[in-house]
Amino acid sequence: MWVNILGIVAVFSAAVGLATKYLGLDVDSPLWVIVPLAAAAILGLVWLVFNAKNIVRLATSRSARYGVNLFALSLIVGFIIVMVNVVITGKRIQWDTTQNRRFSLAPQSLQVVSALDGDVMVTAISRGDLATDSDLFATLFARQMDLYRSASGRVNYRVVSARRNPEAVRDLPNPMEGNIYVTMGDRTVQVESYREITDLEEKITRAIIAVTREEQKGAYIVTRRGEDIFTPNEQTGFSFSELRRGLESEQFTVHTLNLTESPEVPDDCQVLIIADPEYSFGDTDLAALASHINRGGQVFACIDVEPLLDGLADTALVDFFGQFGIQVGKDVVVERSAALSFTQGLVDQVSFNFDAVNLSESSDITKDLINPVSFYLARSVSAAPTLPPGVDAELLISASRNSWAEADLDRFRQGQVTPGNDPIATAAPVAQLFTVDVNEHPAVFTPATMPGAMPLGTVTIVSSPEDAAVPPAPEPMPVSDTPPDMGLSMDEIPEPGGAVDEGHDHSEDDGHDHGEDAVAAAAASPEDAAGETATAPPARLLVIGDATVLYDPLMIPGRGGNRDFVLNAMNYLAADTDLIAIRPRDSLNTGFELSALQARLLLVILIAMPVLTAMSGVIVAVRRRRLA
Amino acid sequence: MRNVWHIYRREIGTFFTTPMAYVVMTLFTIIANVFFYVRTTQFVQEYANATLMAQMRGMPPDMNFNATELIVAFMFYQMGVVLLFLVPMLTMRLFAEENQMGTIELLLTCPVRDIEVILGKFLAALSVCAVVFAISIVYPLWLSFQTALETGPILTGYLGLLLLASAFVGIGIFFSSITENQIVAGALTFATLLFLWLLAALVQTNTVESGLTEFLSSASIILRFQNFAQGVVNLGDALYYLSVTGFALFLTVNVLDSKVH
Repeated sequence: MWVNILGIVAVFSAAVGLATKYLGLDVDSPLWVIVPLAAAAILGLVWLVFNAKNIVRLATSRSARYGVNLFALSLIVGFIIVMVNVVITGKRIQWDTTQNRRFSLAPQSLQVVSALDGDVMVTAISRGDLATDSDLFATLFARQMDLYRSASGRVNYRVVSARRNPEAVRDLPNPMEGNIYVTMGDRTVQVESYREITDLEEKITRAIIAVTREEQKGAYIVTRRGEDIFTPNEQTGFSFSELRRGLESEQFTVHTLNLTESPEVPDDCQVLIIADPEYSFGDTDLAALASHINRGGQVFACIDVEPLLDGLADTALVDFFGQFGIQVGKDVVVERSAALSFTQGLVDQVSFNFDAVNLSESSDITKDLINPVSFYLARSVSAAPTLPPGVDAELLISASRNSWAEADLDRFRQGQVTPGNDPIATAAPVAQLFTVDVNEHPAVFTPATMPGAMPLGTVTIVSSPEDAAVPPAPEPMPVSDTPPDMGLSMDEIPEPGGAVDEGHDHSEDDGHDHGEDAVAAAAASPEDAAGETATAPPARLLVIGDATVLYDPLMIPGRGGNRDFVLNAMNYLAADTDLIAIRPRDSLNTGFELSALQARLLLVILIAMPVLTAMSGVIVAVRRRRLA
Repeated sequence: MRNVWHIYRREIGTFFTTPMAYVVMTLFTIIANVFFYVRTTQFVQEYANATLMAQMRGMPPDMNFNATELIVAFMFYQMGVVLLFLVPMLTMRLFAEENQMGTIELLLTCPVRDIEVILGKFLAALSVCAVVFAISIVYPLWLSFQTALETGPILTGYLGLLLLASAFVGIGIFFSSITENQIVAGALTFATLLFLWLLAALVQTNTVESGLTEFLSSASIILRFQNFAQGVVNLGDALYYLSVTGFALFLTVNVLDSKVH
């Protein structure tokens, strides 16, 4: 009896020793491992000596031999199964069935790792102690890196503990738990902290891009007074912080540029971003802009409709771009759609906040976009019917065919909903105030003819700026209520990749501009695009009819197509076509609301389910008893 | 296969003509329904709050409210947890009762092979699980009337649940075959499933760079289920569940074979 007790104590001691050693328990002395294991060995030996006879008798019995055979067979089968599992699991063959394939590597990540010309090692530092989120991070990190490793044999990864293996992290800059580093050759780039593990793929891809590319691209955002545009505005809550974050992740260095203080665009500026709806360009500003374009500089301009609605003159910049064949309409793009109302059934609605789904399939910027680009109060931007010499244009994005550009701004103002004293409505002027039921305001928003898809954006590539005759700054003009001469009918919509036919009558006199509502358009000189004797590289001007497109809420990773569109456009303008792709995305938004009636109905269903199954059981039991 | 079918019919009949299957289904629906109601109302509340905040900012909500991921996938996890308790109830009597009543000798001396007996009982228990899962289709069905759900993750979730259930049932059948006592069989099954489940917790409390953690991670029955619930079918995960099932049934065949010898 006492010998068996010794055996049990031996097993317990062994368990304590092994658990201390392998389960990462935080003990001060190695004796916590050595003493239990030594005790287990001694006690186990005693148990064996005193049970030797029994062991020999059991081992030589028929059932023991059979049992040993079965045990050996089970071990062999188990070993084979484990080996097959190890091999198959290592291959990481999987199918992502989610709608936006959010658990697979994004096309941009695939593009980046497939273009690697050297080995990349991604290192994560884990503390490796008791339960911490850093360990969860390491698990997620490993899952993510398995995707990279299966996409390219040049990517490898490791997770190291700074405490247990300080040598492994010695050469890493600022080696702290939760940090991730990407190393290629003798270059190491640190990925952002683990505390924001939701964008892990984006961060790692960004670091791989950074470690493989040494050159930086300069992006300058024009500001009025050099104000901080990267922290949320007190009144609107908007900022460009997500834009900067996205640009920096793709090797742009982002600066602000106050043209009033320094009336020249710096030489290192590859792309100049104009996105302040309230900035009124003066002569010196336009001269700086012209100089930038003349030397082949790129421009990404968002010309907002708000100055028009506020009665401000914004014609200087509009006319400036007009010289390059870009027509910015003095209008508001109106999207018409059907909506289901519980009280009225299907109602016809107009909205000024819409997702532009007509994306050019020929442009590198838009052809791979999956999600539509969201616009909040946009004006039309289209290519001129007759482009200046040396200029080509390509339509990028347009609203649906049910849209139109409302050029009569007085009528537009009549259709506005008054927010009243509701503080929420007052704070939500963009998304809420401009949706009007067409049936209630037929005279205001019903288009005179069949609506068309209004062009929303144009990229103008000026291959020979001197040919395009970059103009002096035009004189500011007051806003006119006269319907402008920019609208295009359905037949006049510029096809992607080419200019609109000449000699066509584009005038309309009903105050509405029909066609694909232009929110983004680009232009280029065919001969210069072919690489002929241009003294300056081609200048690309991308103009969209809404500045909100670049603001934070719409630029959040995974939210619609704005981020991909803007970053693709920036890389296109900076001639970094390798990075034009779809970026990592987050989950889809399918939130819903429940009325009180629906909530009660759900409760009834959920209560009825177990009641029905229980009743079925009772019926079966009663029938069984009767039969018995 | 005919013998498998006969044994399957007999076992299914036993399940559904006794209160056992109904007790399991009722318990399952009560527990799962509570989870579903709490999760759904929580989701709706959070979405309403986020929408309100977004309206105040004049922009769409900047959080991801994916009903498939946050409600349906969550329910798949919870159904997996509930299975942990219910499968031992289903499998504990399959062989233990035969052992206790002495009918196992009769069964094994019949002109049927051991594997046919095992497969018949295994498929019957798995079918009960499938019926339980079928009841839970009410959740995505109801949600689909409220919002747009992703079909892929729902299908993979159910596939994962079936594979998880098959591994559980395989382990349960093995423990049922080695004892005459149903309670012991149920307790051993539950303890083993719980251990395999809690390996995930061990992974998170261990050093990630040690080989042991990597092994624990790949052996954890719940970590393998994560991919299915999220909408990803990983061949390694599917093979893992099939391997556990196959190995458990292989051991059961050996146990029955040892009884004959």
